[in-house]
Amino acid sequence: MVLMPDPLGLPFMQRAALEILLLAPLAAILGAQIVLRRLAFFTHGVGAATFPGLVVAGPAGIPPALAALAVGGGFAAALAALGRRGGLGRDVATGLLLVAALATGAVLASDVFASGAGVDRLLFGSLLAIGGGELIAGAVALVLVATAAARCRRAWVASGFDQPGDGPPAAVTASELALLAAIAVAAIAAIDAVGALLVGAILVVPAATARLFAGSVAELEAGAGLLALAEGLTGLLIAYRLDAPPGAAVAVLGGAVFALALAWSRLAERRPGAAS
Amino acid sequence: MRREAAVVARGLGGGYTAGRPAIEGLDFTVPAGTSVAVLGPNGGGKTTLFRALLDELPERSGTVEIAGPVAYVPQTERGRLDFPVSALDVALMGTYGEAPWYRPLGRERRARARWALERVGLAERAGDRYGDLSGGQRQRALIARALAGRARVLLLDEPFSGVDRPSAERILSVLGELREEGRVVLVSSHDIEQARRYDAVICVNGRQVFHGRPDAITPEILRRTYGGEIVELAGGGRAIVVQHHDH
Repeated sequence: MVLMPDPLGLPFMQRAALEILLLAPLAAILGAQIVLRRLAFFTHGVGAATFPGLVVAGPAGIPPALAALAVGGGFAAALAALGRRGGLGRDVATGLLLVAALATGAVLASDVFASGAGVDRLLFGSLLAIGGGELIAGAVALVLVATAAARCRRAWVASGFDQPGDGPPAAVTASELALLAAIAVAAIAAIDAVGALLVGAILVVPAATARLFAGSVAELEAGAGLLALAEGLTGLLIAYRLDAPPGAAVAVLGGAVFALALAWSRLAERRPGAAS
Repeated sequence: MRREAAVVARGLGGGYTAGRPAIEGLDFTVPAGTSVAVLGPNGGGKTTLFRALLDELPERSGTVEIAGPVAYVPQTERGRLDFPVSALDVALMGTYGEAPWYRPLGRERRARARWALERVGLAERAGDRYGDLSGGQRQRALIARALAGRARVLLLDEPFSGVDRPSAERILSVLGELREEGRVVLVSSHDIEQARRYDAVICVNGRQVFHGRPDAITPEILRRTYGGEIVELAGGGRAIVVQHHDH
């Protein structure tokens, strides 16, 4: 009989668990805003758009977080310019830029440039290979996002509640820019764990699940954070036991929990005596 | 008794692009304790006027003087029905901007939000989810938000849109009470008959067509305000607005 060691006794598993502990508060703080303000596609876009930056970071000797931040910032700026001048909706502009970023990253990562980048690792994360540098980057991201939220949370809630009218859009406020910047920082922080394509597994899916039951914004935030923590740690253990990619395991688990929660909430609505 | 001016606009104009004003040349004075209907066609500049008074326009000319805090009350459909907030949460939003971010909301601001809900007859529904309220109740919750923010001047954007008749009467009653307290209530509307119940009317169609008492409005003024959107009903001398939307 082969005995497996206690997974949480292994240093690489401890670092992975610590990374999840750092990401869960980001899911709480920003996941609620992302879901309430319908910014899920933007979040996915800004995460995935960092791909070309990550591809060139290694061969060029640039810190990956810095390259991701530069490309993510460029993505957000291009999105704002396209949305404003091109007359495109935000979703269309996001889709266009996302395709451009992924295609550029694929070309850069191909044999044409022989970048040597591990495409799988960049796209789907490497939670089991988290090092001290990634943990420090995660902690810095948490401090930045928590500071922005402490300063702007009330404004985020109030402006999210008021939908824009039919007239010309009002100027983007500083608090809304801070929200988009905070999402970009959080998405980049999550890339090490779940990869450029799966940042939604941390920042969107847990909040979308909590949204089904939350009666207030505070409940939504708490639920998103707890679910991100539980799904992250459980997904990590499943990945270890099954020798599966941890980012994908967290995403699949999050999706399954969401599906179950959705079915449960629908059943609860149909139960006799449920509020109409 | 001559009442103190609460809103004074002189040569007010502005828009969203430099050199292309959506409104221009608006001159009016609104005394404290006055209700004013702002009439005009779609795209005629009613919302732009409100944004100019709120100093939210990218381009603005002329001068505006407003005595006391001013608050914008949007249409009920502008409040997200799926947002997990109660009527009390919505009223509390009116107090968000008045204290530093690091200071908790505190007992006084919560008490003021509750007072504002009571003021508009929603004290019993304070804990109800905003999306579960009726259209008229949602509109009153948005008015409570303005009152919780100590607004002396309220700019209401078509508050009777999508609201049934009894709710509209309830809202009108609340607006009347606010006016009695010395507040200024500016209401953008398409309802010409209802506008006759206000103290004054401002007709806007890019420019100011009319400012004065409702009983001084003539069919000619309405024609200049609404152009092809006005229909006069035979017999009673009544006029209604037929809105044309470009879709």
